[in-house]
Amino acid sequence: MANIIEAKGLTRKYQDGDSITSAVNNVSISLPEGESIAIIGTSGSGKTTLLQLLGGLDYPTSGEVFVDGKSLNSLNDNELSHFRNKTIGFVFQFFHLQDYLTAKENVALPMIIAGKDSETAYLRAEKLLEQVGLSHRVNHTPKKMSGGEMQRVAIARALANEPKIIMADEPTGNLDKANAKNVLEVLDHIAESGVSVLMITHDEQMSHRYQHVLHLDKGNIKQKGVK
Amino acid sequence: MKFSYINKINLKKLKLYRGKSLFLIIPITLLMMLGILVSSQSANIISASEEAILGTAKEQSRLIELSSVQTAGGPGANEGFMRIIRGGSSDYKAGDLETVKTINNVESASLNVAVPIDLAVSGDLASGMEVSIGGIKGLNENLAALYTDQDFDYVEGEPIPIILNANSLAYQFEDWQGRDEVTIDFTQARGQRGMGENIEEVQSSLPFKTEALDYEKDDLVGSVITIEFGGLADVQTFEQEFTGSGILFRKLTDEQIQTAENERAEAIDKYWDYEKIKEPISYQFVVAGVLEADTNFSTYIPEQFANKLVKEYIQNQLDARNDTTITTDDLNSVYTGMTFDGLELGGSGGGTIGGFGAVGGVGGMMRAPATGAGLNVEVDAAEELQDTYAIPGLVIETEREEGDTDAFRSQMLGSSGEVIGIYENTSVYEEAVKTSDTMLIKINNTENRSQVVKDLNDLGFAYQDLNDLEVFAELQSTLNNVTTVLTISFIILSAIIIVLTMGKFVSESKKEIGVFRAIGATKRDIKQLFMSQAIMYTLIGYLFGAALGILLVLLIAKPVQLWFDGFIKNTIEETFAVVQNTSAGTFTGIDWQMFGIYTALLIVIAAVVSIIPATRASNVSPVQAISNE
Repeated sequence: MANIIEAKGLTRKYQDGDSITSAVNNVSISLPEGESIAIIGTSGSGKTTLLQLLGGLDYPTSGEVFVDGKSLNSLNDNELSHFRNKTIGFVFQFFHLQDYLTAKENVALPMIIAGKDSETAYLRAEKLLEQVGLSHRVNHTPKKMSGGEMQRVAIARALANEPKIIMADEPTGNLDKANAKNVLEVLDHIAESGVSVLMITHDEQMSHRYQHVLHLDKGNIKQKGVK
Repeated sequence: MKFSYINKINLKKLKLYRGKSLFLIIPITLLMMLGILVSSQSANIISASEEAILGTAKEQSRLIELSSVQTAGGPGANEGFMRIIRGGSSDYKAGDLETVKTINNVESASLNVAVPIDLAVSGDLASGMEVSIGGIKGLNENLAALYTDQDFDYVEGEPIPIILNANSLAYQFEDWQGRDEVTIDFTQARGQRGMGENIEEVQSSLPFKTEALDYEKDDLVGSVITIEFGGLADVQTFEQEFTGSGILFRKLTDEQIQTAENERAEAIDKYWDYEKIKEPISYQFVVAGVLEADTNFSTYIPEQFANKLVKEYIQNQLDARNDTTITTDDLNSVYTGMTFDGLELGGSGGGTIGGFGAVGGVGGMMRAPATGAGLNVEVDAAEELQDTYAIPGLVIETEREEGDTDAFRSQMLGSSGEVIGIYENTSVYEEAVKTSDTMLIKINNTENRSQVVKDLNDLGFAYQDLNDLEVFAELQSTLNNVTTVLTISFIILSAIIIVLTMGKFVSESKKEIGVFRAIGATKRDIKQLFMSQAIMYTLIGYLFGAALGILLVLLIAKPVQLWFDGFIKNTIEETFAVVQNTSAGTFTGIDWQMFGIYTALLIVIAAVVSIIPATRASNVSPVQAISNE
């Protein structure tokens, strides 16, 4: 089976005044298509930097990333944008919904960016919201929703363009236990449906939910595991 | 991303972040409003000065009014009074006219000869009151632009144009306040009070009142009025007596008035048909202008008509004459220092071809004052002030000068001279040497004005240009500068406002930009998103500003007009007695040209300068989206 993610020797260094720090240091990962991975680490372990490199949001200082068989290093900014739009769905800790758009419009946004007409986009957005249990919130703006609901809208948005992989950065970090559980269940469903999930978390407990686990510490791989 | 959806997003942002969007919308609104307001009113003032002032003044600036009276009279001063003060000796004569005509670039020149008819009244100006029209002068039709912007040609059979003078638009009436006698005691004047207060008190005690005519210039101009010339005024209805410390005015009884009327009829009947001479001749005039400056006290009628009027007036009087020869004895009874038929005449004389009426005196204002060149026929030596009448056709030569064929002086008080005849026809006026205290000069070209003024001064004609046109040129240049400065400020300010506020929006939207970029928006999408926002908000500001600007232009039209009229009054009217009226409509005009320029500028500026913040926005890294700060 082909790998959805293939990263080799990823390094990301930052200039910090006179000194150079490595946020990610020589990390290599392989994740077969349809499988999921939890990247676990404490604060400052470099897990978010790694997600940025794997998600095509940032370029590595050295090393190479392949997502769905495409070398992200070889794509220019424009091509990378289109690639992210089609192949990757992001879920952020702070949801990052546009508060001037309704739940439906937020979910439809990646489709609109992809050039779909708004009617088609809204229809699919409504279906996705139904899938995450928010059919009653279709026309509500984020301000009227709970954190859990907002995160489920964000997940629906991540699914908009039928991505191959969902990259979630501490998606439960801002939620209470019940909502966190709910969100994780939704993500589990997604994983079960064959979409890969890359979960960034500091919560060791989560490792058991995913086939692959990668422990990061100070930018280096501390431990790799496969179920 | 489709452009329509980008606009939809920005509209939704506008709806939610109304307060924030006002940071851009309000300054643009104010800028646009100010732009339209200032440019429109500047354009309106410029066009008002061009059309209303320079349009008039351009023609007027080719005209110069020379005045031999160099002291401006105050309100209420009248032509006759001015003439007494200077004695008429400095009046311009035919020789002066010829001298002026020799000056280079003088196209034509004309004397404004006073019409020697003093009893001219109109009953159409104040209801129930007769307003006497004083200081009538003939005005050359080609030179009338200095006083009116209306047609001033005399066309037989049509109402004759007349330029009235506000200084003489007053009517008199008697107000005895139930008394039969009024004593004015001059010893009551008190030193601690000002002279003005003392005069005011005397005036308020007098049974004769003068009321200034209350008129609307706009209504008066264009109206048709009838003016009666000559004839006889009602006989004086009172008598006065010097008391030593003042004057006593006593109302006459109906019987006494009738007696006075009979005495007058008897005196006049000796040489004229009384009933015929009593009837004035009347003409219809159309008011072509009203002079309101306090430096000019003349009423103007077309020169061509003035000649006709005087001749008809003389003819009317000559027609009323009977065959009785006026004797030298009668002449002798009223003149001194003058001779006729080789005999020295006694008494004091009038100077013009006269109308009938009482000579001057305190009570004279209720009668037709005789400034006529005529012989005053004394009816009763004891009541000389009230009962002397002038004889038409009497020609007095005074200060005869070389080149003068016959003398005809519009001189009120002539203490010396020679009565050279009593004319039997109207040629007396044609042959007379005409003089005037004003002379109108037309220059062939405005540019030569200062040179002509210099040449006039060199030839001894006092004239000082007030350079009003320069004031207007300055005003126009200032307003043009204002518009230029405004346009440049408009460009700079709108650019700064858009760059700064959009820059602020971009800084505050980094997360949003990051999310858009993370979920696939390209740099181009982000650029379009912010450029569209800048243009949309600018256009909203533009629409509000344009509407408010237009509204304000309309609202302040009247105050601007008032200011403008005041400005004209304080400047150009001092040299040019008449300027075209401005209407409030002149100041409601919108400068559509500048409106279009501002619209185009604003759209171009918004599109161009918004590239700066929009490019900054597009360079925001998608990493921003997932930074958890």
